[in-house]
Amino acid sequence: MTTESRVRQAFIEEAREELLPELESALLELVHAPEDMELINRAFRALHTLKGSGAMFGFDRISELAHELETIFDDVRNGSFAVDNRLVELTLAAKDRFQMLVDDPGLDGPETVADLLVAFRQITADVMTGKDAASDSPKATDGTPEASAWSLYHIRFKPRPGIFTTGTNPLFLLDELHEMGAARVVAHVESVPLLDGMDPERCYTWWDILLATDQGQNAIQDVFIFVEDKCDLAIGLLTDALQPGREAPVFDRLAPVLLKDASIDIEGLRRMVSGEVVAGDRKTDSAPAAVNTGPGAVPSAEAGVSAPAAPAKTTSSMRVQARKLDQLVNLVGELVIAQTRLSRLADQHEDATLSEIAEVIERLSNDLRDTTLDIRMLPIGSSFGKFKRVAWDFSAQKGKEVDLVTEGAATELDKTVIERLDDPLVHLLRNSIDHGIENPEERERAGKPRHGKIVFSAEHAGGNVIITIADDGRGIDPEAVRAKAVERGLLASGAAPSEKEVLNFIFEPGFSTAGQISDMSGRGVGMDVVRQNITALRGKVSVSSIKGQGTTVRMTIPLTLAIIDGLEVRIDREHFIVPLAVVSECLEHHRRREGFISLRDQLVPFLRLREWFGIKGSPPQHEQVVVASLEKRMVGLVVDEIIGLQQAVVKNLGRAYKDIQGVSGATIQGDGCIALILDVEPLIQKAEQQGTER
Amino acid sequence: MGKIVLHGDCLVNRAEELHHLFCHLLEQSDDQVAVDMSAVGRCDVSFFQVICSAARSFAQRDKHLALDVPPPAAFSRQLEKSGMASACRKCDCGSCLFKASSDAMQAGDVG
Repeated sequence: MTTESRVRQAFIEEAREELLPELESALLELVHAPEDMELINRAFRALHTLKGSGAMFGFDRISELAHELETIFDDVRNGSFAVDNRLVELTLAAKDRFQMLVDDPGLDGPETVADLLVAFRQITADVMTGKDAASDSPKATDGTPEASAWSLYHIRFKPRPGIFTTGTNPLFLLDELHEMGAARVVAHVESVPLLDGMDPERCYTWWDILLATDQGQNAIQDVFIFVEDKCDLAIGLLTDALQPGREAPVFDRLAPVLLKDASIDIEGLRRMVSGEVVAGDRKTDSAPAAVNTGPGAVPSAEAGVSAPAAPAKTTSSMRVQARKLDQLVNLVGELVIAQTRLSRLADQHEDATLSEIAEVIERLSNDLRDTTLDIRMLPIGSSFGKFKRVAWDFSAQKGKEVDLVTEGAATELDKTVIERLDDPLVHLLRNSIDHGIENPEERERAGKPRHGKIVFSAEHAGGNVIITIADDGRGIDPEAVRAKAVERGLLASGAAPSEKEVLNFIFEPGFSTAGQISDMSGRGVGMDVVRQNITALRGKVSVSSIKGQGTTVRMTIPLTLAIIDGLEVRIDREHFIVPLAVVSECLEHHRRREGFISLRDQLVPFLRLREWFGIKGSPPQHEQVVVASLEKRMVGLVVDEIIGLQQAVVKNLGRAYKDIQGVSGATIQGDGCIALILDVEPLIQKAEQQGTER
Repeated sequence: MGKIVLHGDCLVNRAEELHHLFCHLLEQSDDQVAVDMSAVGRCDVSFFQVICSAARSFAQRDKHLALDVPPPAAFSRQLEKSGMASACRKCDCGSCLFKASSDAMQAGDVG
């Protein structure tokens, strides 16, 4: 891949994964807090980067549209433009267009954004018309408005040598400064080496810039906001009393000095400026203007020139392709298998040196596994923006008023799990909006607030994450579900299942009690697919509902799909892995009561895995028990032998094995044999059922 | 006198190529090389640095890099706006294409 295509790809990834989600998230929050300056700044910064980087990497339409929007959001920042639903809706439409252009760069024709440009220009024109009307009257009474003084800043911009490889073109930043007012740029090329010592992709140049502008220091810092960690930057105020149009003599005096003597300090520059201002413009009693000490200002006047504006960052991040991470996990998986093999070999040979090496390798392998898996962990909040957008779009489409509340955004899950959760979660959200939340009038009649509420939450629980989507809508009518189940032959007409069992019918294929089919849900093909997807993640899904009060869908998802800690057990010649996260203890099997083992005065149902899996042969005289617990439910799993701890690289079973209960996957052991990984939930259910029958 | 014609965008993706080109010219050329920049499109700092480095390297070997045909006005404006034109006045290597470009623009003699 060439440098150009690499940086272009980097922009695409940055836009997809950071800028567009950031823009969308800020917009959706702005709906509820239209004057929140932090949100406005977030949207502005995302647009600003889309504009600059888009132009840099040849995404002209993105740049063009972002420029239009950036102007509007800059006005919003300045207070001359208010955020309303129209602006949010159009900007969300623009976000979708950006997404389309990023996904398919070939669509970069002018017509792609023409309609939105017209719409935004119309918004601007509307506001300007109003503004002109408002500003005309004071002018008429005051006469010619007095031109306010400009501020003169000195900016020292020293890019880091590697700045080009990040796709940053410093010339664009200089261009932006020129657009802010009048600027004189002094380039320092002393460090550019001769050809034979030169790396042409390194930056050797740095700049002093004199900028006369009516804008504040924060606006200048905004220009550099996305290169803060790629440069040393110092911004110092030289004077705030410069008459517009009188900057040229000041520039002419200061620029040669900066070019010749880069060590001049800010006080020296101020003295020179002060002399110029007094002599050339107007007398001023003010001492050299104090450097702005507000948020984002340079640390001190003296440090203004020589010190970087922001403290040097000691931490940084880098973007890595997901494909490479997947490859790394696969390699770690192979390493874990090889390490297990080595450990086995060391045990067999009883060689102290070999054992020592095996232990070191095992420790390193464990650390490497944990680190690698940790790299792949993402906060689930990274998906929340999408869900908020779904809620916004669909509630508008269905004429409903919905507040989506998210909790536990920092809860981390494996990247692959998060990606594969997207579809089922979006479907559940649509269901809640479509079938759960009533329309505003209906809610008022039921004594509920007009706004429906959907709470989307995530939390850790052992080796799992529990995700719930709870709405305060009309709930599911169990009688309707029961009737439908009977009608479809899923339930005998005289059967008396529990309410939980009844509700579980909604996960059956083709099962829907919705009167009308909408384009979002109600086709009866959704919930069974949700269950399939969650099951494919080795997760569980359940539903609870109270008619008239709402529905809660609860999913239990494993943290990672790649490698787990397990307890290896044996039955006859078959080996199994019990996920360590569910193991509470191990003990010898002493039957004291049929169907139960006694555990500190508690009776725990047990299940013979030999019988469950239909393994022939006789059990040993002294069997062993692995006590597994899941959400306060316990089961004793009776096995021939508990072998010990083992890391299991999880491999999915094929479709042919999808109906085998009690198994969630398989792993390859050190000797090349396969061990099945147990899924404890159905085993607990079965043991409980057997215990009840006895 | 040798002559080289630069054309197209001269951005960081071509920095390696242009650096190599000038290294070759430095080794192979006689006293003076004329540079035609009239067909140069977009450019960035990496290009300016290569040109700057080339001018100094030529000067160090008592060779001379001269502007044959001035670059487009947009190029010269970029030089002014980025401060490169004035940077060369300090450097004074005698082979400065930036200075020559800037002077050509001020004289109205640009492409």
